[in-house]
Amino acid sequence: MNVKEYNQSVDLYSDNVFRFILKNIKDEERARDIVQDSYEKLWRNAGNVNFDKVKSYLFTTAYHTMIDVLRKDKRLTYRTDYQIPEDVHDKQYSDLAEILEIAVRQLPEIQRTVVLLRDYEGYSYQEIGNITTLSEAQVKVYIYRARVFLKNYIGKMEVVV
Amino acid sequence: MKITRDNYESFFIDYIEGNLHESMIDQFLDFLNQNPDLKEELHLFEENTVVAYLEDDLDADENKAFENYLAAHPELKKEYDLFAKTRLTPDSGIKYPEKRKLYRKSGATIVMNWVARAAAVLVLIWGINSVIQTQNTQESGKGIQELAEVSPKSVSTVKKAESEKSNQEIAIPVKNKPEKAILEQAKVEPQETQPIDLNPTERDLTALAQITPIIPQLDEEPVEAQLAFSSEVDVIKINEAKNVMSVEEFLASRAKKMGKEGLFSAQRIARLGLNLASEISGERIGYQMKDGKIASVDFESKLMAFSIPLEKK
Repeated sequence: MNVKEYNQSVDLYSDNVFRFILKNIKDEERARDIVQDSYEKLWRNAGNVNFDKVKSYLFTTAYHTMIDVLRKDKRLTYRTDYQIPEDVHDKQYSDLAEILEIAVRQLPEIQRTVVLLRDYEGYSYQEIGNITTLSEAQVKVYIYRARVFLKNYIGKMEVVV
Repeated sequence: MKITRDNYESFFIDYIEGNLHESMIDQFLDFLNQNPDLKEELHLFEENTVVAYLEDDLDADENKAFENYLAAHPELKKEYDLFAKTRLTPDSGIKYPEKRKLYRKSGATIVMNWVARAAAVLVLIWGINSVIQTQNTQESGKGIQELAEVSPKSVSTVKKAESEKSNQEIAIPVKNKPEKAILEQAKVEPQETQPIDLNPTERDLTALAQITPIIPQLDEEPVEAQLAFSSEVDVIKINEAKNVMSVEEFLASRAKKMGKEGLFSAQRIARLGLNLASEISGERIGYQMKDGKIASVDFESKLMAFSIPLEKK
């Protein structure tokens, strides 16, 4: 991968990686740091990374950096009270999206990670397995469980609404 | 074949996929009613199939079977709709805010940047050098101006030549014989006889560059000798000979150019350049002023310090 491709990968994937990490840890500053660390690692290994593998490389690196950060700092637990600043909301932010947002926060960490990779990035079970070092079957099970959890949560909330 | 708690799973799958024989369906439903816990498990089977369908994990035949099953079980439709809503969509409003920090420059770009810096330093050195040389030429310019002020009689001819700029201050030109050397100059640079814009803000540096070659020629003759000519004024002859007027005009504009305005511009440019150099170098480069002119340029660093005097001794 050359410099041009590296810079292209910044344009193409930095938002996605940032979104993925931010949804996982809900700490903007740390999410920014993790993205920056991931790109630094990518730059150091630019000679060994093909451009078509860059996205997976970035997500894998960011995911493991995030896990390291979480391990090192036990205080950094998932903040369920976190609110995304008003100005970054999508215009079509709906009730359903808000409910889903809350539901995703309640998911076990690994289920949240795999379902975010699946829905945000459209990764296959195998690709998610490569990023998270899980087997394809494990990924599938986590995604199915997450779906059932989210479905039940929405169902409950819709009854309340 | 009898459905038991040991073999029910295959019947679950067949039932959901629509492969259970009609003769077995009643027996299957009876079995579920007798085993409520397994009825619950069937529901999990259904859910699993819905997820598999939505995740596109089923093959074409399984998809078709599920669609048939869903059509036959409207109570499952509500759950299906809820599952469909669990798909998360990325919030495109969230963007990484510091992309600028992530970008890298290529080796070629870095080299080019260094080349550009080196070029900037060379331009700076050239600029300082030009300032020093301009200072020297200004000394000659002063001589011409003094010379010009000696002959008041030819004012009218100059005014005529520069009538377009009647509102502007006009230097008093020198009267000279149509001396050979000066005539040659006039021929070599006929454009110099045209009116010259006296506004210092509108003048560009190329004008300064154009006039420098003339200086040595003017300097060849001592000022005293030029003054000697200036005492022999012949107004009539001057008025008659157009070429002489053009020489006077040339000299007037030359004197003007090299006089007050030229001095002012050069000093100003020099000071601006030195101020810039001082700023860039972190005040290592400085200059001394004397009588409104730059007297010397100083350089000071940890390793060395020197001062270049600019005034003629």
